[in-house]
Amino acid sequence: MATSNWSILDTKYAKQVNSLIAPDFTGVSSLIARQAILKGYCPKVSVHSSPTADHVARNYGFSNFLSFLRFFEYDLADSDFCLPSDKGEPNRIVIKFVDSLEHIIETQDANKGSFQGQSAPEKPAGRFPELYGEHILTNTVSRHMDRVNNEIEKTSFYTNARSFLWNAKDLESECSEVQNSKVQDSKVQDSKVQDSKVQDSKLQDSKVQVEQMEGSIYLSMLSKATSSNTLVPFEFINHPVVNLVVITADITIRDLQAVYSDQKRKYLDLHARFPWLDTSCMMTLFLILVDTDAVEQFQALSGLQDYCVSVLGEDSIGCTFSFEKASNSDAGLPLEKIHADSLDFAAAAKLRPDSMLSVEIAKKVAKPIHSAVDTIVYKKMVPFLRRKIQKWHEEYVVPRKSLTGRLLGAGRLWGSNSSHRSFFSFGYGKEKSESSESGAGDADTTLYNAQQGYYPSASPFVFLRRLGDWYFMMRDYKNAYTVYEMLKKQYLADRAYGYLSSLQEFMIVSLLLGASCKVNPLEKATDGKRVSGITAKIVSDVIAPFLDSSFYSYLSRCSLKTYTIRLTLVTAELFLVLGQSVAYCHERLFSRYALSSEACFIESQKLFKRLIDSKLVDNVCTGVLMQRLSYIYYCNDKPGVSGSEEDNQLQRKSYYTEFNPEKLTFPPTSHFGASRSRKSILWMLLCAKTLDPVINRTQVTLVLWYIENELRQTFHLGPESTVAWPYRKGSLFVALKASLE
Amino acid sequence: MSYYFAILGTNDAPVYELEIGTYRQSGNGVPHLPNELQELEQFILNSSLDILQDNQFKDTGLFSKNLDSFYGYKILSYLTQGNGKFLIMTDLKNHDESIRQFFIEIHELYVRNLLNPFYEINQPIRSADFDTRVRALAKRYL
Repeated sequence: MATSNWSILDTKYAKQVNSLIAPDFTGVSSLIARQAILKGYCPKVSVHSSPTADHVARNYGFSNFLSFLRFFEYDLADSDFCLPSDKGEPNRIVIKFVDSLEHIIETQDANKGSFQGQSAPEKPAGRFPELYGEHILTNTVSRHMDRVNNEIEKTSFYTNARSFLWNAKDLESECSEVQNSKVQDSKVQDSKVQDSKVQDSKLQDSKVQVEQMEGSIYLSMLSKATSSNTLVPFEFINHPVVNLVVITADITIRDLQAVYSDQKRKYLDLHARFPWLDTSCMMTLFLILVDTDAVEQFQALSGLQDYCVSVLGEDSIGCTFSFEKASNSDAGLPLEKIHADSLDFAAAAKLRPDSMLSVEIAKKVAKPIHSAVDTIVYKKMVPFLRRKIQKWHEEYVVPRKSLTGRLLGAGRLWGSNSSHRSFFSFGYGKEKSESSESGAGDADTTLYNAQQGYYPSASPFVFLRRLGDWYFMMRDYKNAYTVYEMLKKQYLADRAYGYLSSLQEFMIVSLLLGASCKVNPLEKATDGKRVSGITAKIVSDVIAPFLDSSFYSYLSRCSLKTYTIRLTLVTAELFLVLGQSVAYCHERLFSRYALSSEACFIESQKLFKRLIDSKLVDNVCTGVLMQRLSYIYYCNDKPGVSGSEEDNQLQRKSYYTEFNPEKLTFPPTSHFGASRSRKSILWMLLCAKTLDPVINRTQVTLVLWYIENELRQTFHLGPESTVAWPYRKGSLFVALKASLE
Repeated sequence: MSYYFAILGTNDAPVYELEIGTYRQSGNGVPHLPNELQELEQFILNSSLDILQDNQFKDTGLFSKNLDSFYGYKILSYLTQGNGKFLIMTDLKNHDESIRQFFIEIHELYVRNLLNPFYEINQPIRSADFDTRVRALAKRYL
């Protein structure tokens, strides 16, 4: 099986990470998981395609042009190393193509029953839709697991693991043969050694593949938990920033005008239905497809582009390729394989009628589309976002932050009639007067609507939240946190609990992502400025209270289960990212107050346990979470520390080892007690029980193989060993093994 | 209200185990550990050895009253000078001092057992007398 089917796991970045932090059976490195989180929080581009553009996509075997474009997201993910440039902004950025706004709203309306929070209908805060339907997370993980199981069952590693588990063949000795092949060379004949070497290397390759596939199960869960198209008033991460209108160059000016006005009308309708939805903040961009086989379309392109700019006032880009697939393949042109994001299998399966996750198209077709996507992102979307961010920053942030602005704001506050406002909501009076002057009407256009549970789109607090989210999407976590912090008191004063929970969630994520992005274990240590990182005080004073408050608010006040899952899972994973980054970087890079890797792991463990105990997810997902928890314990002593010279000397000079070897051996003190492998075994055992051997036979077999292998390594179990406690009747381990026979 | 007590040898394998209920709060000494825990108890104690090993050269005391916990059950430990370990898993709260006394008495019993020329280190303790004495101590302290 080609590993390229697992998208994020096969990017250049993932390969670099794997070369530093080898994937284990319990899971993949958290640095790869961070990519999945970043992809979930990336800017969204809504695609509205004309019937002729969809027809072009169907020629290439896709259901519509959106499906076609989604296959080109992988290339962006592949080049995104999530490293900031010298200016502190990311060099590359990933985007996600989504359905048109009206289609998203339609789907949301259609799924209202399963999307809606389950609280009492009279509670306005409980009317927000969930990120995804009730069983979507479980279905996604189960489907992905089934697919992984099918692939794993075909591998030689699985066959060997099964036979090892029932003592038919000793896999451990086989694996150790690979490492100790030099020792064996002298003992066996050359030809046999060659054969066994080939077999062993195949087995090792197969093991690596299985480890990667196992890791993809958790990644699929994390991807699903973080990515959603659901539009809610209290956060703008899922609101598209660009509206891409895809048309073909054979369209007439009148039709183009009709498409444009039809869309504007739909947006006005949407705004009338949902006053919190502001489509004016979106950038409209025309993607004009030009057929290379039709010369007249080249001339039409410039006319259409001129019309877009001069009459409609919108930007446009052209993309030239052959509309007919047959003409390319017949010519025997070089082909390029493009991949869909296979971690979200359910979504990926919808992209093509044949459910193929990778397709081959001619390079001369793929190249202009790659180039068009790059133009959309780097020449259109990013400059647009920067312009808007700067504008809003100057309009809404600067007056609140500057001393003059604060004093004037306070003066206006006392001078105004709004006696119920908090003293600390500086600048409030200014916005009110502005909205009144502009004729926007009464105070309702900016105030929180407690009945419906939203701020209208004209409210400055909505603009500030959008600004914070856009900073966040551009990975400027410091500014994002500053903007979020400005909103907190206002949301609390208005008792806008949905807004407040989401705000606190993003404050936590900004802090953790910001800290983890500053350290990069893949780069060599330099004697630069020390990174302050996350301190224990930040955890106890900011992260822990915000987390508790958001967890409670999401779950009890707003009844938003999926948001609670996202909050806990992402925070737990980001603590792991931070812990692993600290562990693999040189300690001189960090300030002495920064949280140690072990402390980060403990925080992460706490949150994973909290999510498991909250019973918010079903057994399959709980099993996957337990496996991840086991991975955190496994990481505790990684990277391993080689015994220092002092330790070795102590070991040699030890009185006890010399005269009474049975009594005490002097352990290597530098890394003694750092391992948590026994904890890892316990959680893997619980994972096997939760996954259920009857339902997930393949997974449970592999988990039990892992436990058996670890037990043998920890206790040096062998034929002469007297340690028998794991194999007693009545032990869960034995019961699970028996149920597999 | 129950206890699971184990003595682990220097190789971290159990040499003696006892499940016993409390004699306090009108208990009769019959253990009431749930099945889910019974099938896992060895693995739970085994996992807490990670923490014990971590603390071994940091703490000077032999007794640790908050070594680890697992879903409401707390684990207490006593580390002998010869690297033997006594571990108790219990759902009883606020009995740390009596458990410490119990460990001290058990330590004496354990050392006596080690002095037995017919006993080999790390072998299971099968002496009926030892078992009776441990149960008597449990009745007195637990």
